[in-house]
Amino acid sequence: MNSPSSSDEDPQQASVPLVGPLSSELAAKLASSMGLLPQEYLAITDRLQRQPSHCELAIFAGMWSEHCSYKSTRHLLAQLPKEGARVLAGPGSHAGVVDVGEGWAVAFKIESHNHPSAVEPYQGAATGVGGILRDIIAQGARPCAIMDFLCFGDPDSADTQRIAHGVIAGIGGYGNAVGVPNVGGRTQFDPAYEGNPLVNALAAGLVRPDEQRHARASREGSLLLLVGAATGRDGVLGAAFASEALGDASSHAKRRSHIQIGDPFSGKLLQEAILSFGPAQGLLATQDLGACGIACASFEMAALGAVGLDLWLDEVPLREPDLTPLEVLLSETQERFAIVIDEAFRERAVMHFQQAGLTAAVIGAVQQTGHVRIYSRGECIADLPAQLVAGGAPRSEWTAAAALPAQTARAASTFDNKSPIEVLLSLLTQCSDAEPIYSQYDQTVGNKTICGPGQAAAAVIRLPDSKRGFALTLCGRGDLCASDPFLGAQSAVAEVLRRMGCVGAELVAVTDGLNFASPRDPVQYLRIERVISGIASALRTLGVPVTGGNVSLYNESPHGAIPPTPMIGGLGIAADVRLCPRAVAQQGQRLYVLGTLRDHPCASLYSQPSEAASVVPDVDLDAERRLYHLLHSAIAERLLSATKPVSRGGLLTTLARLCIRSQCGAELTLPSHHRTRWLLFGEYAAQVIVSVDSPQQAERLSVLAEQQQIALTPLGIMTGTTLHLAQVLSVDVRELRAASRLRSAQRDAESAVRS
Amino acid sequence: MTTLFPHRESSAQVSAAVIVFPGSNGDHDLLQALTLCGFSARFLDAEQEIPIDVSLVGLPGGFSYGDYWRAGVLASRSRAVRSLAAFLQRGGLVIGICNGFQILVESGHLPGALTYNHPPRFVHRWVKLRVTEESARSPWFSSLPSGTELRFPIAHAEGSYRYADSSSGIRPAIPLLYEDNPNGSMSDAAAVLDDSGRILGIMPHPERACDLMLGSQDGLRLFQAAQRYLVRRPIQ
Repeated sequence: MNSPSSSDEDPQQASVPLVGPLSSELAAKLASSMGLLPQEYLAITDRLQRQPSHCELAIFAGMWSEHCSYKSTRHLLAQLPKEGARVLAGPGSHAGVVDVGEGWAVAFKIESHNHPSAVEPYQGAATGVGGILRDIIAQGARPCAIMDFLCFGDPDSADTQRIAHGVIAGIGGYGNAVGVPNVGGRTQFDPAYEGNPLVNALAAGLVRPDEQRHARASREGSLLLLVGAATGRDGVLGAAFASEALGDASSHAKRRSHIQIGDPFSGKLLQEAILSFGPAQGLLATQDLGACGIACASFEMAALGAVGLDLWLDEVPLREPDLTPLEVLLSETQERFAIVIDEAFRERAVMHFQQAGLTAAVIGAVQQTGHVRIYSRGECIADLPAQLVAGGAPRSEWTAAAALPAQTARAASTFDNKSPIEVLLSLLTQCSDAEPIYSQYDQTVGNKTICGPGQAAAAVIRLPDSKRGFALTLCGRGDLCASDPFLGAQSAVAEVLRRMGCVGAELVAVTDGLNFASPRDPVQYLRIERVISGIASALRTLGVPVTGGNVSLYNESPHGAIPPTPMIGGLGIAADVRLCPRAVAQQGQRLYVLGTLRDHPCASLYSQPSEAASVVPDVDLDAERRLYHLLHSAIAERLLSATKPVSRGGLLTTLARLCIRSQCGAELTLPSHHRTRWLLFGEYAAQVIVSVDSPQQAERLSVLAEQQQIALTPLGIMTGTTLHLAQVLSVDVRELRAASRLRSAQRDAESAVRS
Repeated sequence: MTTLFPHRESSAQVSAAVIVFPGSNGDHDLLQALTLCGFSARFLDAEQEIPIDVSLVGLPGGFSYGDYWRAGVLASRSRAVRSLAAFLQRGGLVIGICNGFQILVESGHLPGALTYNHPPRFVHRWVKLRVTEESARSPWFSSLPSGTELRFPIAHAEGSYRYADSSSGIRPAIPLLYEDNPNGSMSDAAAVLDDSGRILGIMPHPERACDLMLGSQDGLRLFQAAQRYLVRRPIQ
C-alpha cells in the first residue's frame, strides 16, 4: 500500500543548512523526505515565488501534514451541518460551544491519540487527555467531564495487554490528578484493532457565554507570551508521525522521540493560571500548544487575526540546552499555552504565571505584515505568509473505488449449533462490564456527576447550584461500519439520539471523532466518504449540528487496516436532572420494550459469517425520532423508572445486562416470532427497554406510545434471582455476571497501577 | 464601608479555611460543603499561616505538588501545615480528606501511614461505612451514634492505612470502618482520629456526599456536627 514517505531523519537532511537558498533539486528532495507531496511542494514555490529554505520547508511539512491541515477530508467534512440555534462556537474553534441555559455554555470536543498510544500507551493516553483538556481551557471553559472511547485488539494477545494496561493507567493517571471526573466511555476489544488501538478522549467544560476565549491575534505591538512548561525535545515531528501508518512493534523504539510526555501537575497549575487570566489582565488571544508546537500556534493565531508575528526563538525557555531552532519551533512539549497580551500588561502577566509555578516568556510581537518572521541567533530563519502556512495546504485528491468489495467473512465463531444460553453468555463476554476499568477513574470530583459510568444510558452532569444539567454520550461501531460504512455511521448517530432520549435530554450538538485507515487506498477512501456522508445525512434528518471534532487517518499496522470507526459524542440538555431514569430496575417493576420487535438478519454481534455479505445495520431514523419524543414525554410525566437502550448483543443481551446491574432476576415472555434467534440477538433500530412501577403508569405509557406510533410490548416483571424467558432459557443472574466479567487482557488492564 | 476586622462582623458564622496546595483538586468541593453547613469558608494558600480568626481547617483531596513522590510528603512541609500546631492549641478542628489525610499523616498530626492500595490501583467507588464506638469523644461524630451507616465515594491510589501492629495493644482511634474493604487498610480503617478527637483524617469523600442529587447527603452530618461544636465552643 502507498504509505507516505517516512519522516525519519534523512542523513542528508541534517547536513542541509536551515537558512539560505537551496538548489531546486535539493529543495524538492528535502520536501519529499519530509513527507510533502510533489504538488504541495509546487504550491509552495508557486505561492512564495521563491525557493523555501530548509527551515521553511520543515514548517510547511508540519503544518501541511494531515494531522494539522485535514487536507484529505476537509472537503468531505464541509457537508456536515454546523448551524444550530444554541451553537456559540463551531468547527474551527478550540472546541465547540453550546448554550445550555441559565447563563452557562458547554465547550466540548473529541480528539484522538491513536498512534502515540500504540508506541507508548501510558504517555500516549495521558497526553491525549491533557491535550483535549487544553482545548477546552483555551476556549475559556473550566473542564468538568472526560469520556474515553478505546478500541483494543485481540484481548488475548500480549501486545493488546501491553497497550490496554498502559492506556487505561494513562487516562486515569492524568484525569485523576488534574481533578476532572471521567463520566463514561466505551472499551471494545476486537482483533481488527490489533497493533493500532484507537484512543479517543472527549472533554467538556463550563463557560459563561460572554467569557469565551479565542485565538485571533490582534493589535500591532501586542506581545506573544509562551507560558507553562519549559520546552524540551519531546514530541518533535509528532504531527508527521501521526500522519502515516504504524510500523510493527520493533519499529516503535525509534518512534519514542515523537512521543510527548504528560505532567498533570503542570497541567493543573496551567489550567488555574490560564482560567484566572482574562481580558482584565490584558489578555487578547489564547492558543494551546499541540501538534507542531510553537510553529502551529503562532501561524494559526496570526492567520486567524489576519496579522503577522515576529517570533524570537532565543527567548523560549528551554528544559535542555542545545535544541536546534527547528526543534524549538516544532517541539510538542505538553502543558504550554501561547497567549497574546496587551504590551502594557507585560510585567504583571509574566509575574502572574511565574507565581503559579510556571515559566513565562515574551517570545514575539504582533506585526501588521501578515507574515510570521522567525528569528534565531540574530538571523531571520523563516519569513512566511501566515495564511498560506495555516490553511493553505492544497486539498489532497484521492481516488475513491467504484464500489466496496464484497464482505469478507469476519472470523467470528458461528452460533449455529449453540443453545440460546450459550449464545447469550458468549455475547455477554464480548460486551463485558467495564466496571473494573472505569473504577480506576475518579468519577465524582467536582460535585457535578449525576450519572457516572454505567449508571444510566448517558452521563449526566449538573450545572453549578442547579437542577438543570447536560448529558454526554459517546457511540460508534467499527464492526457495523465494516459491514456498511454509510448505515454503520448513521446507526452511531441514531444510538446517540436513543441514549439522550433514555435520560430525557434534548440532543443539541455532536462532536465527531473519525478514525480511518489510509485515504490513499481507493477502497478505504470510499469508506471514508460513505461514513462522513452517513453522519451528515443522519444529522441533517435529525436537525443536529456538529460543533467540531477530529479526523485520524492512516490507522494501519502490519496486522492490517482498522475498520472505519466514527465515534459520535452527543451533548444534550436535561432540564431537570432529578428526572433522569437510571439503568437499574427494581424488584417488582414491570418491563416493557418500546419499539417494533423485528427478526430479519441484520449486522450485529450475532451476525453469522455466512450471512455477512448480505446483512447491513438496521437504521430507522424516523422511528428513532418518535421514540425519542415518546421517552421525553414519559420521563417528564415520571412514568419510567429505568431505561436501557437496546444495542450491542440485541434485546436479550441488553435484558441480561439490566438484570446483572440491577442484581435481580426477571420473569419474561416474548411473542413468538419466525426467527426467534434474530428477535433475541439481532441489533435493531429504535428499541428501548423500560421499567415501570405501577399499572396506572403502564397504561399512561401505552397512551403516549400510541400517540407516537411506537409499539409497546410487555416483557414481564423483575423478580427472583434467575433470568427466565418462557420457552427459551432460564439462567441464574450470577452466571450472567460471571460471563460478563473481563477476559485476560481486560483482567490485566484491571490491575493497571498509577505509575 | 470596610472594616478592619471583617471576621468580627460575621461572628454568627464560624470561619473555616480550606488550604489550597498546588495540585489540590477537591478544594472547591470542600469549600462548597462547608459553606452549605453554615461556615464562612475561604481558601488559604499553602504558603500562608492559618489566620487567627479561623476555627476549622480543611485539607482537601488532590495531588499536592503532583504527588510524584510519596503522597502528601511535600505538602506536609508547607507553611500552612507547619502552622497547624499553633492553630490546634487555640482549640480548632481539622479535617484532612484523601490527600489531606495523607498530608496529616506525613506531618505527624495523625498516627500511622498511608500506602498503595491493595490491589495496587487507583479506585473510585461508592462505599458503605460504619461508625464505631471509638468516634464517641470526637466533635466530628457528635451526631453520629456508633453503628450509623454512611455512604461516601472513595477515589485514591494510596489509601491503604497502616499502623505499627504492636503487641502493646495500642492502636489509633478508628471512628469509621469500610463495610467492604476496598484498599487493604488494616482493621478496615476508613478514617483516623488524633488523641484529642479534633483532628479527623478520612480517605472517603464526605464533601462529595452533601446532596441527594449526587447520591448521598451523609457528609452533611460530619460538617454540621463540627459547626455546632464550634458555635458552642468558640476558639480562643
